[in-house]
Amino acid sequence: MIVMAFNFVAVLKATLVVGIVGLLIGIVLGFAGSIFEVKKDEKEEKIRACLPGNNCGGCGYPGCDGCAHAIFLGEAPVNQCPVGGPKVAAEIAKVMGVADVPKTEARKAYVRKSDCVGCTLCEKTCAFDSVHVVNKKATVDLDTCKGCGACAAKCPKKAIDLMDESKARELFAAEPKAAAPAAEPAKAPEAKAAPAGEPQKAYVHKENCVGCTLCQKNCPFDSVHVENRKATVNQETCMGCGVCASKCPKKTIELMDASKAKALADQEAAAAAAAPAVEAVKAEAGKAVEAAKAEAGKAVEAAKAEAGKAAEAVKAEAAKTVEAVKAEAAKTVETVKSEATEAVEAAKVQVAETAAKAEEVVEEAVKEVKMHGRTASARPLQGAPGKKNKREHAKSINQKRV
Amino acid sequence: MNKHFENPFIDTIYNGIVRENPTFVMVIGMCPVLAVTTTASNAIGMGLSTTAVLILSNMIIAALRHIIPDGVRMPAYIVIVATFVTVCDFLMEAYTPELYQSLGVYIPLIVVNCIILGRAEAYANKNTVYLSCADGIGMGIGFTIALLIISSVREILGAGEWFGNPIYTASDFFAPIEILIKSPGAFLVLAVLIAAKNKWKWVSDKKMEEDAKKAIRES
Amino acid sequence: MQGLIIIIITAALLDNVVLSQFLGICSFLGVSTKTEVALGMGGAVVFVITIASAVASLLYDFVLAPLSLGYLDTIVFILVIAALVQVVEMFFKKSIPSLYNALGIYLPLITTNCAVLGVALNNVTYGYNFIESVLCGLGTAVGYLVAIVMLAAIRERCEGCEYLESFKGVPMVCICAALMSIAFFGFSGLNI
Repeated sequence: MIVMAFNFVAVLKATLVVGIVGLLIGIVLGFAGSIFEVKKDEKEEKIRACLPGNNCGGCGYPGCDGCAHAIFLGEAPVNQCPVGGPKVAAEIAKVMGVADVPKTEARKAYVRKSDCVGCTLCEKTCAFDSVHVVNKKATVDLDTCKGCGACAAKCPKKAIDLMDESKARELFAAEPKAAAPAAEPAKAPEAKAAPAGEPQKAYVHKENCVGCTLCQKNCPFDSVHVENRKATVNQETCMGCGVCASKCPKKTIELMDASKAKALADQEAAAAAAAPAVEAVKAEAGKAVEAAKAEAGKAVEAAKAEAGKAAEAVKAEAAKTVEAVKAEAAKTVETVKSEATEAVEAAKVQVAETAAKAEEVVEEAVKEVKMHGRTASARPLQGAPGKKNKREHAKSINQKRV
Repeated sequence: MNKHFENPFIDTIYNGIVRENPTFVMVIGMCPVLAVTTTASNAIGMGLSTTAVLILSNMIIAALRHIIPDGVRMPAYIVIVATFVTVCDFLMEAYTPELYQSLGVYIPLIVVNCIILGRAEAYANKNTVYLSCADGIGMGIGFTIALLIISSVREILGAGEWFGNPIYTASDFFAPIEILIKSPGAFLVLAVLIAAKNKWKWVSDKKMEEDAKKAIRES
Repeated sequence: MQGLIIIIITAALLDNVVLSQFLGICSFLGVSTKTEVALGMGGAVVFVITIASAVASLLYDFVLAPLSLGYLDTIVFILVIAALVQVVEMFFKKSIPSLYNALGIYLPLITTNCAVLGVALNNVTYGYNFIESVLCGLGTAVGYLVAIVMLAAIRERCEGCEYLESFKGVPMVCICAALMSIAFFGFSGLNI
């Protein structure tokens, strides 16, 4: 029983603590939710409520909030959420007020003509021959389209969407009327909007190009080639798909109107054509340089010969001077040597005398030591010297004075 | 690799082990994979405790899926998983102290293991208790097998042991590669194993394509 | 003062949270595709981990330890972190929309990031006081930021390169991370 009671208290404490923390969190979140509320449209709130809410990002939008916003604006279809599936799509369809999306609807591809540049990648990719590019715009044949999505994945402008068949047919039928760009919600276009009819071509600004060949590797039409570490776009085969521009790490490839690109390319060609004239000028200059070199060579030879003669003369004179100086130096050395020897002799004699004197001093000192029992440099005893010591102390001082 | 079984229970287990292996295929829950695979015994310990927590939490969440309101779903799951992890922590501290010491802070980190919360979100709150239990078993065993493979490679090649038993002695022919035991080794072994799995998948996908094409031609 | 600097540098470089301790690998491998995205994620992580370590340290010192309920740290920390991230996200959305657009979408991902809970639990294990916990958290998060931005830069450069088909994707990223991990070994010789 005692053991049970002890456990009960601990359990109660733990439960209380976790419970209170949870309660506080709930209250704080509740308050924060109302204080920091961002006013959103009621419809968008309802759409958001239908979504699963785990922010997986599978829809391609930043979290469920982003997806709800996109669906609310009409940018995304009601079945954008892949995790939610048809159930969530039906609920959102109800909120948005569009017709309920039937489950067995086939999926078809549809091309947003405003973003299509007619690069024909979709036509090449389609395994069922359902996409055709006519007048630089791609069209999907909805009868043969299988909804496999290969064209949508390949499109560099992301201009193809997969949607339910009914919606696709609806948009397809509405096409001739929806020519005004205002009908499309404002998306951020990757390429500049093309004026009606002018195709886009890629052009490489060579001054920033480093020759990394990423553009060449990624061009689906083999229209870019790198030579001498500079990339060039073949204006005829370029389809204006923009893949090279997006891959360029130096951002030096620009998509521009075909006429402008052609003008710039022509300028380059002109510069290249001018190269032969440059070469000719270079050759002439080279010849002149050669001639000048030859002449200069001759002059140099003549100057060398003269310099040689002069050098010989100078050498001879210098040799004579050197001889004279050497003789004088030898004489001086002799003189100095003899003087030095004499000085050394004299010094030796002095040293000998001093040594003899020093010996005498040492002998005397030794005699002193023997007499008094301490060296001449020893300190006198501390305090008043005794009678005996006073006499010896005076003697030593007298001797020092001497 | 794409075999399907009749019995949904067995099929779900097979799914977790092979088709959607959390480490090699889905590449989630990587933190313990890299951290505890220095020895095979650590790996088994971590794998089994994660499996236990996964099975229990899947079952409880599946049982409560109609009751938990939508707004507090995530916190509720987290509390359930955290409770089981704390219990597991206590049991390991009491009954397997050496394992507890070597796993250290990674036992409480089972709570935020992406596998557990991910499966709770994706599977347990939509399926019955029976199938959620199967999913827990499958994912857990798949995770454990992956841990075992990686730790065996690291321990045998890096330290010459397996489960602490010496396998070979260092000789002129082959000496243990120390880097495999340290942090870079974990990344390297994982990279090579996932590349091997990719190659296997690529080869088997190609084979499937060829078979399908042959079948279409012949039909 | 020196001790505090040592804590920050150890947490950031020597015991780098991603390359040595292996916490937060899922987001490390997943979010490091572009440098701007990695910078945003790293910034959000710095913010969350610093605040979370501060709050967790306070909770442990003033609520759990005095009542000898230390074993509840896992549950309480994770609850508090989840709530904290939610409140921070709401605050950003309302008051600093520009910051929300830059970092906000990563905030829900950070709740289940091992690094946040890992740092909070490590602070308890090492017995740091409040200031030391905050600095350890800050150092850890800065280490995460450095590692993830470096990896994103390397991945961007590797994009145009050709290598074995089976190594495309996660294996290549793991090899880059392994080389970075070896490079970070050099920091263990730091003499502070």
